[in-house]
Amino acid sequence: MIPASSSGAPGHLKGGTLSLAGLSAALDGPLCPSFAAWPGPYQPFLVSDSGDPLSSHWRMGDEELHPDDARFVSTYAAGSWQRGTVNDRVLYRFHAGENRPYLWAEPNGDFSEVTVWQDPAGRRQMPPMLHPVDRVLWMGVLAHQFGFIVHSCGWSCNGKALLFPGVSGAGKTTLCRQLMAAGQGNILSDDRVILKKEDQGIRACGTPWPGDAKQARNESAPLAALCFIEKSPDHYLLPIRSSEALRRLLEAASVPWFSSELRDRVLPLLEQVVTTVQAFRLGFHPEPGVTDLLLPLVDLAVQRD
Amino acid sequence: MKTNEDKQNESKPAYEAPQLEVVSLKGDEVLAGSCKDISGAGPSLTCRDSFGGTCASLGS
Repeated sequence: MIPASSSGAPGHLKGGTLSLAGLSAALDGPLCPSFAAWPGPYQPFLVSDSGDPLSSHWRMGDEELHPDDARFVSTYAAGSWQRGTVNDRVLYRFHAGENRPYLWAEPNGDFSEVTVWQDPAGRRQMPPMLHPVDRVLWMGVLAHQFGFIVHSCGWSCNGKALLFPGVSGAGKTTLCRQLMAAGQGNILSDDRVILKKEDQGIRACGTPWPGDAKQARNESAPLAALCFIEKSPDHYLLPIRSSEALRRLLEAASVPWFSSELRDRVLPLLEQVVTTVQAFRLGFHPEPGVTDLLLPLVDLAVQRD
Repeated sequence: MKTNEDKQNESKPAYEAPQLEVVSLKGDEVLAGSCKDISGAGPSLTCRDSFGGTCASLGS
């Protein structure tokens, strides 16, 4: 953690802070235009300087250190970003299609400092740190803070959280809408949830990256169970072994495979999740009733406390 | 009468041979390969996703 008073140039906190999973990333002014310019799902996660210790500080880089695109050597290529090197510097290059980059990010070793350069010719519009930029950087920050992102719907009820991991089309949005219709608890996120290891166990946290149901709450709760969703004519909840849970969680977790150092921080967390949290296969179809299967899981977790 | 070896075997879980499992990783989905879900604020923030939205014109 970085003491808020020790980082960067005077006044850098006038930009704003992205706060999620109990962690804070301070953004310098140019990287954080007025909060109103950010999409709605980000609003609960944007705060003015809270004075709390920072997990990361994202600042503009000096122009003389702007990475040279001609010297960039890619070591990993996703659809909209790449990780690679320019000379010996490790850089993240964000781009549109085959276009030139609109933004470069250079984290330090533990992602407590991230230096950013914008390239207007790449045509990215403000605010510059929106997805996918922030999500890629948060993967690094979280890896150093015992957390990772899961492609999942998260539901909190009576102070406990259930996680429903699933790839696109698995039924996260459908399930989310059923839970909302049941009127019990809150959806932390309908598409991306952060799991974070804490002294008391694993905590599930909402994120500003929602799916079609647009659910994004800056709230969290201790994780009571993993429920891997399956579309089915019948509703069912079947316990599975931790080895099966690990295989399924690997498909949905944002393991930073692009960096061996980050990867090796996150993989043990997955193992810890599946060995300490009970896991199930949840079969459901889009009709009321699935909540009746889930509430006993919540009640059991509450009784255990 | 049970031998010590018998007693030891009873307390051990049955041996399971390791098995190789192939896990399907969807990098574009879990590693922020596309920019789904940005919409609804700023003068031209309409970037939807990489499946037919206005992604390319926004540069994300």
